[in-house]
Amino acid sequence: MKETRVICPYCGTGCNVDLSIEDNRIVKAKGSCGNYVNDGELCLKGLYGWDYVGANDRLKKPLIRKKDGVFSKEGTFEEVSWDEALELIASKMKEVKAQHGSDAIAGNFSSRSTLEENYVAQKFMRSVVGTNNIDHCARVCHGPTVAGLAQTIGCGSSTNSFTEIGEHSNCIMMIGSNPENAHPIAAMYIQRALSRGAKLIVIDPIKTELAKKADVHLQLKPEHNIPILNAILHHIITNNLQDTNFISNHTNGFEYVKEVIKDYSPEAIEKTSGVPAELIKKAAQMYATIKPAIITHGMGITHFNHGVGNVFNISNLILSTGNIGSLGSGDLAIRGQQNVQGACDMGMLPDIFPNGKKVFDKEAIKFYEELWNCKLDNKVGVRRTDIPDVILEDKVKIFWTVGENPVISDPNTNRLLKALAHVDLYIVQDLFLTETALKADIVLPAVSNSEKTGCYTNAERRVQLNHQAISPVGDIKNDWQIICALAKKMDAQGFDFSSSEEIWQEIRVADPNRYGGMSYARIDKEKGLHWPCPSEDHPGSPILYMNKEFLTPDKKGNFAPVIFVDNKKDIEKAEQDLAKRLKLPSTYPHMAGSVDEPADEEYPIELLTTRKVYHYTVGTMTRRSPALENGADIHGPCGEINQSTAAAYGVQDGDYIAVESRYGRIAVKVEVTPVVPDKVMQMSFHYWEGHANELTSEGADAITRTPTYKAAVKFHKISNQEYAQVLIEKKEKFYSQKITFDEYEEVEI
Amino acid sequence: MLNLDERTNKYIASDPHKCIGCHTCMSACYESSKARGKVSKARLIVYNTEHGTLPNQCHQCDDAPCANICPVGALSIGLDCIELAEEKCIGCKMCTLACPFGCIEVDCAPASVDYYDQISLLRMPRLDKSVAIKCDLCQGLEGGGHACVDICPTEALIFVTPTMERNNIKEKAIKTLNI
Repeated sequence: MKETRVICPYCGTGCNVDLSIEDNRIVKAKGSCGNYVNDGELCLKGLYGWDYVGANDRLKKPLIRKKDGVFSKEGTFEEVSWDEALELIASKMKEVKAQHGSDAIAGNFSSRSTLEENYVAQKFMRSVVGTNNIDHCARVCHGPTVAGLAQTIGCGSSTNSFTEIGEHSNCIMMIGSNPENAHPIAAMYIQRALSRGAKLIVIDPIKTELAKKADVHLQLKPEHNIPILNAILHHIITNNLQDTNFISNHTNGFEYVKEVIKDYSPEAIEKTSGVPAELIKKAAQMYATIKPAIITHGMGITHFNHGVGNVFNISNLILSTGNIGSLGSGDLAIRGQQNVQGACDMGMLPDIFPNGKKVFDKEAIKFYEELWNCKLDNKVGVRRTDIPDVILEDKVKIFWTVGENPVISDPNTNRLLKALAHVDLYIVQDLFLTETALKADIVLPAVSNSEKTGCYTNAERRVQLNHQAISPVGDIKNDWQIICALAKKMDAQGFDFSSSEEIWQEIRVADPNRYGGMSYARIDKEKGLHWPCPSEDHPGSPILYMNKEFLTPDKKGNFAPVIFVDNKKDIEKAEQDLAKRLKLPSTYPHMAGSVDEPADEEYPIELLTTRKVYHYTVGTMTRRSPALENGADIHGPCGEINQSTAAAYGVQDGDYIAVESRYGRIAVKVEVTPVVPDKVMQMSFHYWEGHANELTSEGADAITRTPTYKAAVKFHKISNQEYAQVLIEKKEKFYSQKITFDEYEEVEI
Repeated sequence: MLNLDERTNKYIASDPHKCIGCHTCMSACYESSKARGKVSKARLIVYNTEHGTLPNQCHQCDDAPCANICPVGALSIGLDCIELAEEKCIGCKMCTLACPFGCIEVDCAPASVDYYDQISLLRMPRLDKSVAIKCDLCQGLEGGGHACVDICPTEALIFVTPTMERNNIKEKAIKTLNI
């Protein structure tokens, strides 16, 4: 039996796992000791979520939809050789490029792939296909963090490490962040801080596990972050709790925020949000005075029509109190996938190159045109959320998804399925014939993380090397090998890589400031390195902004005013009025937001989508593990409501209900729980059979187009027989090669 | 002479101040029971109430009502804990009625994972024998130890021996007596 160290394939914590291997199979996993991230600890997914690797239904050969022996969208899957599959893709790409231009091709790549694979993929799309139509799951999670922090403090990533919370932070403010379910080992550090006597503030409409332990829990109405955070700032500023020295030496625009928060006194906000003014004041007092203080934020900051605005407000809190740039103080954007930070770093975004520069930046274009020996396009590409629209408008003809399952993970499933039925060619690269792969025209079988070597960047910017533990079974390839083989079929130069380390050397040249100083040998020896690490003798940067210099052009942090309006329709005008009132410079960051789709008489319940600790996003990996699916008290697809909502609708725990929104209809079981507020339904998105994203709207952040993943819904009780009938319909919908969807009329809300 | 450690049962206690509700203990318990040839089912359940979150498991009562009431002698008062002979259990549920803490349920191993086929699961007849499901302190676990205690990332689960208990009592007594 041999042991190999890999990086956990699940969340962005980036735990190190020792896999025991026998006959090329994983027989046991345990937390690696002596590393900085998890030092011997692991959560249940890292320990028991490995059955997917050796699952019998792993894809082993490429598939093409064929009818009478030739490719046809009306056909069914047939196994083919790599040569045939890649030849077909290359010829279709050439054809579409010639007829409709490069921008008729779009690719969504993956935070599950390594840094090397993401780098090669974006290089292929930009230099060979000739488009910036690339994106990945950051668009549907921390897109607003990237954009919001970039405009205020200069860099859209976490400022500190998880371990610092446990050892140094004395005050923790968690806003819309639920690591006890999504990142248990990160939550472990918060628990260590609490055991040490640190104070905890939780801002969340749900009474999460850590909210129950909090010194202050601000249980706000869903989508009311702006008034609450503005009220906290109000208390800080009117009571002179701000760090005046820090503000005057290191920031711009404090006066804008000072003016804006005048309308948000805790007393006024108590009336509209229902959160007691005393609690708001207590939270403000704690965050401003107990140092070092850290903020953690998750999807409860980003999934709004004003996600960037919420991130602006996090920066306002940090900058007003000077809680940044030291051990245990800053902002931790707790990111969801093991390499989502890394995929962003590699430029897997429609507007950003691998060195973080914009795709329309002339110097950056010149740099990459020389490095890649090609001509680059300076247009920002299509964002992932807009893919269904551009397909239905006939602007995109070929769509390629790598290592993602958008049929389950993306909002408004019916609209996405309609687009997938419409696109000329849909290519999916995955481990399994997922709900998404089943709808593809060409399926390429990929390699999982324990079967490959490469680097991942975790949520704290730590770059770690993943070692291959077992050999892949079947005729399957690494993502980078697939892309390089395709590039050669397209007659491209610059894709002659023979190992991931060769690609790594090019990354160090392509992004010298962040990755230049990291060799494989160094990353391995030093058990991971934080970027920026520009040279071999640079120790890496676990904490950003220690010299109080921000990564903005003038090295100062920017306060960004944010306001709340009652009606979505008034947002644009409110933003214009705000800019006029404050006399803001023309591109100065500011934002207005609202509840995106308020509950009304017809759809009286607000749906919030969340995660459960035992499953990982779409469930493709974790649902194959008996220890998780059967061992961890799994309740399955549930609509979680509180007792008073249940009583009002005459339903009980365990009853089946049909839930309907303006975008879809599903059936789930009722779970009555005290953790959810009145007239709110909480639902996880792990299950095709009770699929929350069939209900979610197309609402999105105005700047980054990150979805809100919310909707107003209605529900009624159904019988067991009716429930079974819905399951049969859903199986038809999600487990057949035919694409079916329900048409819902588009409505203005 | 009776060893002090043998006079009362050992048990696993959980601390709600440390539990973050990560459910890792449940999966570890499932794996332990499977590895030991028992019915594959977690013997502790994490409860998420209004005020806190923590796993609930057998207290290993010294005069255990479950063992006293068991009509077939499947549950018995052992040396360290309340032991269950799964092959004798008839699934009569007397123990679940007798347990004051909700720590025993009668159940069979869940059907194997096939998430493509949730529909047939709904209608599937029960194939396996149902037995009482309760914590047995991982008796017979290869390499020893207690799966849930060993795996808990926040040390919220503790294996308590009578010696430890006496020390805890002493500590509390001295604290409250203030001498």
